[in-house]
Amino acid sequence: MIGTPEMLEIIPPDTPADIGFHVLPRLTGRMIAFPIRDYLIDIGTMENYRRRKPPGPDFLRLDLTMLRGVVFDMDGVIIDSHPAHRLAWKAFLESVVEKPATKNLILSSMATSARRSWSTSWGTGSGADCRIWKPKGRVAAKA
Amino acid sequence: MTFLGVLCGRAQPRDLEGMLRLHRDRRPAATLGVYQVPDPRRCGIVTTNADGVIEASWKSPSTPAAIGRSQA
Repeated sequence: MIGTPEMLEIIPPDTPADIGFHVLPRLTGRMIAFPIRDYLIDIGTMENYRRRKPPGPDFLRLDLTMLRGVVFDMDGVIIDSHPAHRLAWKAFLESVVEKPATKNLILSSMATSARRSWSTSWGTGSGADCRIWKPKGRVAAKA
Repeated sequence: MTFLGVLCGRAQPRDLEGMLRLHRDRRPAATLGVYQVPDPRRCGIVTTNADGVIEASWKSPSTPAAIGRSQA
């Protein structure tokens, strides 16, 4: 899914809000569909997650200059469910912590709250100057 | 600002780049990657018009009419 600010602003203030129930139905007529014809697997179950293919060389063709931020899950956790997540997180770490970011650094700081990860690894208050976008009427989850 | 959301799926970048081109050309509020599955009752589904505009979406479809003309 490729989204825009219009999509973010339509997220209702009530929590929890589900993208399938509360966001997409409100955008009908303003969204378009792109048929995916290549490999795709739903990794919503552990069985499928274990069956997934590792990222291939095609992945390196992604234009890294397009990365402008990291999107976190509802509770502020970065989910390692797609290579793009890891690349975005790596770019972020290298912009605020150290470059090059080692594999251990990347993996050890994922799958947990971003703020908790920063506090544990780099001290309380680290990452405080990073801008966190919050939709109207919503409150960021506490670490 | 344009952002990529991955919803429990894993697609190869060729798809992502094609999606991005389409998104930039058409400038919708969102572009959803969709694919056909044998049993859409297990997926969120959408219906589109001839131009690919999404006319309806269901998180957990139970309407046979919706399933009959849907892509997951």
